[in-house]
Amino acid sequence: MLPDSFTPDFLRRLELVKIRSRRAFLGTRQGGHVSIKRGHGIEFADYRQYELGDNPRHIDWGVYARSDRLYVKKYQEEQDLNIYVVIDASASMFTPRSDRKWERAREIALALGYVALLEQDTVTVSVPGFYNSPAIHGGRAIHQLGKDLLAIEPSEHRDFLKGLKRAVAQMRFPGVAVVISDLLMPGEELREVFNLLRSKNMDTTAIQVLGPQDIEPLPNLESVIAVDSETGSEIAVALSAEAREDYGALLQAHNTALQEFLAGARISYVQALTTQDLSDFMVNNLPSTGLLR
Amino acid sequence: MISLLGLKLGLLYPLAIAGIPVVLGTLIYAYLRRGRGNKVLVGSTLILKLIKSQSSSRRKFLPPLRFFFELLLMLLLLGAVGGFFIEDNAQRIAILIDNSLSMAAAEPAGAESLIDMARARAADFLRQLPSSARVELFAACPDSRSLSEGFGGANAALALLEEVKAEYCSDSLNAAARKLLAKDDYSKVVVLSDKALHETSDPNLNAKLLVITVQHPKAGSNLMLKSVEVIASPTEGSREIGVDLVSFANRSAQLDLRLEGYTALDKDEPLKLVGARRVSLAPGARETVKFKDQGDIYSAYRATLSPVPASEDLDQLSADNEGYLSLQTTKRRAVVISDLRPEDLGLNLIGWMKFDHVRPEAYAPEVLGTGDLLIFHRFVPATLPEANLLFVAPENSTPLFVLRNGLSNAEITSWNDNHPILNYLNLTLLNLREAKTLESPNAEALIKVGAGNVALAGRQGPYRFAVTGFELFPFEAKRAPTLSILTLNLLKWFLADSKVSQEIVPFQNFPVTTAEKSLVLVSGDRAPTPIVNLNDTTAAVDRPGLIVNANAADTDIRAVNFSDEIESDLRERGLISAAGEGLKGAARNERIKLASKLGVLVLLLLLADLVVTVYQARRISA
Repeated sequence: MLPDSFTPDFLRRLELVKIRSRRAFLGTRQGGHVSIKRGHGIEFADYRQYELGDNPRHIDWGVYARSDRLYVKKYQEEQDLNIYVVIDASASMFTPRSDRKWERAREIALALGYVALLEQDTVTVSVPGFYNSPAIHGGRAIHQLGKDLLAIEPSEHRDFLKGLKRAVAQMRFPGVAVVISDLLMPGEELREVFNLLRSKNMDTTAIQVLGPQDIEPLPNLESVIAVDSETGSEIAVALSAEAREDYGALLQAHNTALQEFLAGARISYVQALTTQDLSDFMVNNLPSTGLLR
Repeated sequence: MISLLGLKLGLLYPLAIAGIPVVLGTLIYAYLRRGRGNKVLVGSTLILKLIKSQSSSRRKFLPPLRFFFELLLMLLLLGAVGGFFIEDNAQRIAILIDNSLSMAAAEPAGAESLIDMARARAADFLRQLPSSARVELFAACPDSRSLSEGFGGANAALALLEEVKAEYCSDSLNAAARKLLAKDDYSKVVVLSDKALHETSDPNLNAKLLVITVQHPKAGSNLMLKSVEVIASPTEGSREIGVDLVSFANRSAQLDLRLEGYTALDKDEPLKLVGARRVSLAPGARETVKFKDQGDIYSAYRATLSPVPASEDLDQLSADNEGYLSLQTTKRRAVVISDLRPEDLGLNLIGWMKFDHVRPEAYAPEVLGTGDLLIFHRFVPATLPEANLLFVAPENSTPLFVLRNGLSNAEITSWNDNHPILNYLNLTLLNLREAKTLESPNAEALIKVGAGNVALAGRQGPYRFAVTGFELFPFEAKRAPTLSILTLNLLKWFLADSKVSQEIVPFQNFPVTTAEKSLVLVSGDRAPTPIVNLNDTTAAVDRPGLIVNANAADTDIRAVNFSDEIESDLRERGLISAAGEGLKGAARNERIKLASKLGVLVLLLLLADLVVTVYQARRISA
């Protein structure tokens, strides 16, 4: 079961793109990505001397004619890619509901899953604190995945970091990791999250999902007590025009610091606004990170 | 109290000032508290926290405009609760001094009179006034008049006080006070009198009024010589001179009564003793003492009384102890042309006039004789005679006026209260069952109803005429006071410049001819004093006496008398409805209380704020 936004037209557009990794990973099954494993792929990798037991069909007779030695061709094996999608389902992703950050994150995850499963990749979706999917294969599995994700509703505060650690621990094979979150958390926590993924040798992409109220908070309100949806902490703010300008600058500074850290960690970054068309994001914005091609 | 821009501001309840820091503190706290606003769940306060830490305006408490608006509202409310007032620096005070005859009363006789006391109290009052106060000084009689002719300083009024003296006149103190109270020119009206003053029905006017009582400590006591008159003896066919005496004393009194005759032949000593009597009068008694008339020798008389012994407190008012009589004095005469007799019209109740009767069918100019006035009652002659003419409820038009519409139950809408005919009248009380509207190019409108004029008065050559489109009679005195006063005013107006006027009261204009340029007033023991004419045709005197022509012994001698029992009866003056605050309090500056106005202002501001808020909310929601 897929969201309504997954129209046939959108699905057709998704079928035109493929997930790409910046490095080769060892896969677990036959797939569409060049693996670091040498084997019987179609892409030539190297020569080695013929040894007893090698299949004579792999002997390069041209080389034998020129050098009078027997060499066999080695090919890079094409294997599947392990795609790990981590969706932040902390309370901030549900607040305010009108921003539909969670819904957009879920749609992006499902779109990536759809693309990956079409390519025979192995997809694991983790919603820390709520849901950890098994490694799934095959295009049909997308419907079950969609059903599982649609069932997730905001509940009590969950510790995103703790859930993420658990999810990362369960990542047995390196591959492509995609973190979908608003990334509105302190710098230390962000670094901890992404360092965990780096430690697992993941080719990571961070997708920051922001809603309208993340860009311009509390419209039409002047003075409020803002209650943090995750920590419950309260803070009195006076949102004058000047303060709103300050907010924009501070958000920009936060994102800039985040991007600098991610760039240093060779992690791709892209911002997804919930007001943007999903298809447009998937086809135009996301490929710029190198995640899709 | 504080001074600000020349204004003195204060609070009736100064403790309310203590509320200012409370209000201010509460408002700041409430504003800070309200500034925190309602709780709103946000995704993350990560960035908002940084805003707070950088929001210098909140740390320094630089409140927005709305804070000051609310502070203003709170202070206005505090002002309203505290009884905020502005002290009016420029008080505009009218001082009305009753200078009628009763104010000449002194105890003991010859000592400080009531008018002296009134002047002293007024002087005290004036000295306590702030220098910025503006004062206009009035004397109650004759005909309440301004002595200062406009506002002046308190010192100027002090200087004018010396001019105020008791006069031979009756006051109309209530009317004069109300007239002043009704004007917005005065912030306070101070009345000094020995008589009771009735409060008005308007509490705002009463608040402007301050009555200062001047009374002697002891109850008043007085002996009055009311009148001197000729009494015809029915038996002997001769005449006697009667002197009416009234005792307003608090005990039995003995008095000496002297009658002196006037002889024009001896100008150095024109009054000769005719007779003297010693009379005993019980308290409240009235008695007429008769003397034999010696009209062949004297053409006028003067009667005087003096208590025996010269008691200090028995006769506190000596100004009413004399009376004059001119034997040539004749009653004024009016001819009533009516189907009804003067008695039927109640005119016999007007004792100071003689009314002759002519039936309309017998009307002819030659039967009228000489008189002061012709009264045409429901009748209009074919040709109008040359005389003073009063038309009452005419049934036809004349060259003097035109009759218009007939009305029933007409309500009077306005009247010319500056006209002497309408003195002392409140015509709203008058309901005209039947009336006709009138028009005349030569007359002044007196009384108007919705459809037009119902009373006119004007002049035709040397004579006067007046028309009432409604019935004026019968004259019923107190039973129909409005119509009665109107009738008397009409008669007085007609006779005011009558050439045959003989009976005169002080301050009343009387006609003089060019042959009478040398009139003198023989009054009391003083030497005859020349009379200063007001103009070529009228003159007036200010005290009783005999008006004689110094150059012609055979001219008419006119007696001037003043007699008013109200002025002479000093016994019960009634409690004076003095305002609660004393002289000192009244001299304080006027406080313009603004509490209720502040309350209204707060309500209006709140209403305006509500409208603006609703408008903004609509705009945002749109």
